[in-house]
Amino acid sequence: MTTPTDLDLTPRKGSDKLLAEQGAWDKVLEEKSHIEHDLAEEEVMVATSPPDDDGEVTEV
Amino acid sequence: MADNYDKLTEAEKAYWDIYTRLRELSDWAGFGDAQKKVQSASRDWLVNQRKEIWRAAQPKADGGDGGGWDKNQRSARYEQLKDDKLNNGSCRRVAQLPTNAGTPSEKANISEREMWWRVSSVDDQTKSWRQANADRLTNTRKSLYTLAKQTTWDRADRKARYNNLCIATKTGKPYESWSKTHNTTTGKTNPPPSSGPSAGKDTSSRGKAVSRARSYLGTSEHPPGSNRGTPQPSGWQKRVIGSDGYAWCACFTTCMAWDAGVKGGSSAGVVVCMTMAQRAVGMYRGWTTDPSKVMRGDFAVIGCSTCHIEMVVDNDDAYHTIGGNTSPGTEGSQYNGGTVAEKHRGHGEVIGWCLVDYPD
Repeated sequence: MTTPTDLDLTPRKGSDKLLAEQGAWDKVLEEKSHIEHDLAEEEVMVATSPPDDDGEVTEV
Repeated sequence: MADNYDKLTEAEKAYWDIYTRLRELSDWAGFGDAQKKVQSASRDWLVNQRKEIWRAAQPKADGGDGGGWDKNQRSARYEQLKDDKLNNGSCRRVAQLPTNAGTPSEKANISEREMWWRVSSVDDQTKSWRQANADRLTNTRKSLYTLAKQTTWDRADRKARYNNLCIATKTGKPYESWSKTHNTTTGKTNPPPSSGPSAGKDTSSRGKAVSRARSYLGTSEHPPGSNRGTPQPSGWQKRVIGSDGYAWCACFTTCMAWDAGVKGGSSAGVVVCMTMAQRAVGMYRGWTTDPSKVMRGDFAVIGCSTCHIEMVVDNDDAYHTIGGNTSPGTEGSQYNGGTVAEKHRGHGEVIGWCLVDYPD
């Protein structure tokens, strides 16, 4: 399995190369960065909230 | 190489499934330290168990029990626990639970839970691992509840994520509702009813995504070669990347999934979709090179990691697809053909599949 750190995001051929030629590649990477940032921010907010009793019974 | 999983003892099967499931998740962005420790400890147990099998199979004079390699299917079990098998084997008992819109750690923990859903603990160690995973999910569910109550539910798909955490922890109305429409052992969606007004109708979100993709067959750029067209494909590009005039195969697949109820981000870049799938981020729940794990609605990456992407439309054929910005026949560009078309891709063409996180 390829690990994420091994991946080279530089477009080489096919549609991603077209995106780069069309000047859209920076927008693609920026959007990805936004998605990951938002998720990371939400994770921190959840992790720092105390676990409240949400009134439900848990079965494991 | 023969597969001898069925010859393993119940304990060996449990450790096999624990280790292989965690190894499958180990590239994910939300794979946590606690999961890493369990992955490592379960591997150690399997390696040690293989040594024990070898010791027991030796002649009595050398410390064995005299039963040799034929007793208790030792030969087959010893083969199954080889490093090579552990490095490439897959988890055999996995349920399907919704993780749609989850944060990376929520996805990684629910996806671990998919294994525990079907694998029972076999000793104190596995019992503690199973409980720890359930505790993480319960705590996350409760923390998310607190956060949403104190701030808002209308952010980061909190309601959908809370429902998914309730299902994963078998809690409350979300679980009750889910259990009416799903097999509670496998997690698979129940088949459509054979009688009544919805007889035979596929109302699943995967079914909707495929139907929607099919409804656009023949949609083409206008003018040809412009990477534009009103309403489509320009509309799909604007939703994903904000403007039009770009290669749009990934915009097409992304919008078909969104329109079927999938939450979470995706990308106009094929390799970006692939990396997000490998990290289980956004609308993705994983990456596979095994066609048997692919369902309709998942995305096939075609040609190379930056070339082209299409939606799989057949549960029994991961190479049967509908794609945007391709050509209907064998002539014309397959990766920038300007049309939505149905394709039967060659096995050598597909380099892997992005597993999409559908809500049911």
